[in-house]
Amino acid sequence: MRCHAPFVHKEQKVVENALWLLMYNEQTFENGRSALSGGNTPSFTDEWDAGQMGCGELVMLLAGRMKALAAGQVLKLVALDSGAQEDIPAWCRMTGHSLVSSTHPNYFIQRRQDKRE
Amino acid sequence: MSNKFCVSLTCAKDDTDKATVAFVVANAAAASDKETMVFLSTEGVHLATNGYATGIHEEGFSPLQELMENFVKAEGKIFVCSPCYKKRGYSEDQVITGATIVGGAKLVEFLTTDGGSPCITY
Repeated sequence: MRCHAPFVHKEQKVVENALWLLMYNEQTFENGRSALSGGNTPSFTDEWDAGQMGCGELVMLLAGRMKALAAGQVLKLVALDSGAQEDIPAWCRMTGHSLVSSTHPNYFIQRRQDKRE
Repeated sequence: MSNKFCVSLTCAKDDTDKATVAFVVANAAAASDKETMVFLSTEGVHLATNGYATGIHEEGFSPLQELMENFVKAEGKIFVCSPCYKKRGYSEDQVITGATIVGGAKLVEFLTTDGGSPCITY
């Protein structure tokens, strides 16, 4: 019994970690859902504050952020650069991502389906 | 045949000849029923600032201010490179009527969609 104790302890730890991860994910999901139920703010799964970044630098990094999302997930982008008001809608039209909602400087962008999907 | 036309302008008082001719060509395109856009970048962004073009008058051409006003009246679009504008210390409230501050994506969209667009650079 004594010789099995460390193994049991290790197994318990794995289970505890898995439970914690599950709870964390559910909480994150619920946070997204609560944003949706809040009224005008769409649900989102990731958020990126790009600050004053603009032009090519902004869309290049934005492309990377969107790539990290699963199809259908939404990124909340905060982009203070005034050019973003024209650029983000244009970039979405070109790339096929959906601009769910935008009120400068907040943009909610939904990841497109991959062409392979 | 593409129905769009882009004029890219990278100078202002540093080369008033080129700045003037750029808007002459842009006006020719707008008058030919082309969806015309002047893209101002680097030094060209000065022209998007209220009052800057006043007094620029190349011999043999209309004053630049007048050319620009006519272009906007003909529904021509003026896009202003956002980082170029900010770099030169300008703010959004100084932008002339008819000009829009944009980033590279807006330019790329104009040049590549709806049959694409030829672009001439001054």
